[in-house]
Amino acid sequence: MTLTDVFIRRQSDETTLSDDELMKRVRKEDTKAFRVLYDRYKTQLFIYCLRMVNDRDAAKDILQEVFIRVHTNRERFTPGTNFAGWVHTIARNLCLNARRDSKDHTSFDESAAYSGMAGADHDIALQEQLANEIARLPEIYREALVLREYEGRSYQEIVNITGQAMSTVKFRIFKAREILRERLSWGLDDLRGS
Amino acid sequence: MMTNDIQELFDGSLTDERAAELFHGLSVSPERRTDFQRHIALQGALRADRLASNLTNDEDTAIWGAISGVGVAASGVGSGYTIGWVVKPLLFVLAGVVGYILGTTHLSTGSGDSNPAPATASAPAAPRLPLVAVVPVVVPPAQQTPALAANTGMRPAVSRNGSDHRALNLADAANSTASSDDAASLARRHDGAGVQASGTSTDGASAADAAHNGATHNDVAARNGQRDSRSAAENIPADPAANSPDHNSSLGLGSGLQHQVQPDAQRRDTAHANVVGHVDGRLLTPDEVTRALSSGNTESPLDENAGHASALTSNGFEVGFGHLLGRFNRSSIPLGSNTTLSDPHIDLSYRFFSGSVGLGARLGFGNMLLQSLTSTSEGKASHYTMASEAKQIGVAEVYANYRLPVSRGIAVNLEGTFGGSTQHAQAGGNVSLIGFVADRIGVHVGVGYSHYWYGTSLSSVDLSHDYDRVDDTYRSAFNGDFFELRWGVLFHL
Repeated sequence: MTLTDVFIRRQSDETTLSDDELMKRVRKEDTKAFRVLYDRYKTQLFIYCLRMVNDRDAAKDILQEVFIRVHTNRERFTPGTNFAGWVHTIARNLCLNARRDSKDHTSFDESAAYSGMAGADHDIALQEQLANEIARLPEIYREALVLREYEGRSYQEIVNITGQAMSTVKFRIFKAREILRERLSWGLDDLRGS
Repeated sequence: MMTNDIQELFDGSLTDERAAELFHGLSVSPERRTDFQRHIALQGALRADRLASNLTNDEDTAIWGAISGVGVAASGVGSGYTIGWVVKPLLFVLAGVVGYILGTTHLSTGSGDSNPAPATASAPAAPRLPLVAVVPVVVPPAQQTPALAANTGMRPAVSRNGSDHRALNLADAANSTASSDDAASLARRHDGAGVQASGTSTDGASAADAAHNGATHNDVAARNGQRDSRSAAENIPADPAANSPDHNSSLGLGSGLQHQVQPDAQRRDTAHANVVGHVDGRLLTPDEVTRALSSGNTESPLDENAGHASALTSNGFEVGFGHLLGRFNRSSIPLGSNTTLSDPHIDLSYRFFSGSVGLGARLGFGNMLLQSLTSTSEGKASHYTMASEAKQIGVAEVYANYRLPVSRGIAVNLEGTFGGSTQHAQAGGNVSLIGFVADRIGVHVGVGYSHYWYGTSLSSVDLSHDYDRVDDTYRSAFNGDFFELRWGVLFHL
């Protein structure tokens, strides 16, 4: 064993722990373990929340609230169960509440947005349009798409998180992609042709 | 069906047969190719959107701060780090205090007398004051007595003119029996003055306990013997404490040392005798003797062979070169492929208080995170990603240390450091063992502990300010502990 082996092994002690092990430590007021969990899930949860509510500030608030609830309810978490599913359930419920409370459903004028755009501006506009179109997707399609495309989760993981059948998950993702292709067809054609 | 196949192809679940059919259909149908390209464009747009949607460092910091602020993480963070940072420095301080106590005890008791002889009943409780009696003894070379040399452990040193100048222990009975260290001291001062007896006889000198001698009765007196040492040794009174002033002349140097000093104390006398025994024709001043004793030096300050110890206990500049052999990290610090675990450094310090305390500066290397920006292209879009990589960069430190002599030329070094680089700050301490292998050349080896803090946000901003979108999901602030092994050489200038 070299010094490097020792060094790397020690430095990665906490980051390589499973979610269950980390939650056990969190229950013992180990803040470092909680920070590791936060670092592990913050990005995917934030993107999930952002795409679900289509509001960056709201997404940050939800992310913050998710981890506060995780910590508050740490005693309720049962080791051996799916932590990722649990934390996503918390995030999903908070996102649904946020969307229900929000009265601001913005409409997007495609023709005005894309007229005269080219190059990098077109890319930015396309991404903005994409975000809006994802926000307009039906809830069940959007969630499946976000879990698949933004979090890179496998179908089986999505099944575990959503509790839906595999065929249902696949269909929802298929429909979400199809809707986006149709609504963004002209923008995608420009991107494709460039 | 075509769309299903394309999506399954992207998912990696399309069978080979159906993939072959899909590719064939794409090759013959422009409409299918258009549809396929839309799929690819959508995938690219989703991926780009995902990269652009990440949390920024500022947002991440704000969210975690908010979570901590509501008390979720604050309790753990606060207690954990506070306790750690209270206890850890205290341990170092405690180690220093224990070391100091042990060291001062060691020095004050000389060789650490563990079996002091009890005081005689008749001996007054003489003050344990340092006592010096410098006795120039005029001894003809031919009459140098083996008994004297044997009893005192001293090497007769006869000068050219025939006078043997020696600083001898003239301990009183109480001191010599109560504390072998006191008895063993051959150079003492008494009441700040010292007693000096000059032998007027050429055939010997005698000196003995003066607890009951003379008008003061509590001073040591050197008596001029009328006999040579041999005869003095043969006229030893059974109880030195019973010596009356009338018997002063019959008390010889040999008798005093032979009968009042315990055998093991006599052995220690030998060591102490060396302090002043080799005077090479010159008497030591009391200051020289005191300085030599206080530094734990059992060699004569005039002894040219005592250089190892004098370099350890003298003031002056020191330069050094050292190496950190390895760092054992306790927390997460990303490592790069070019990380090295061996960092050289050079030291410059000045030593005060007889070399016991040093203040200095250290320049060396350390492994810290640096940022780099990489780009990947997807079609016409380029994605820039910030990466953190550990590299060896310059580190500067200031330090203060305390050396605790444990033996001749060897000391324990306790050191506290504070410093950093353009990337980080660190504070810590180390404990090492120093040994002088030559007059002015020493080596040291030890262990250290440090806590470090550093952030990468500034360097990230510098690198990314020209770019609109940078995927910067890396951590921006780090802190943790590491333990290190270290060794080095030093030169006392």
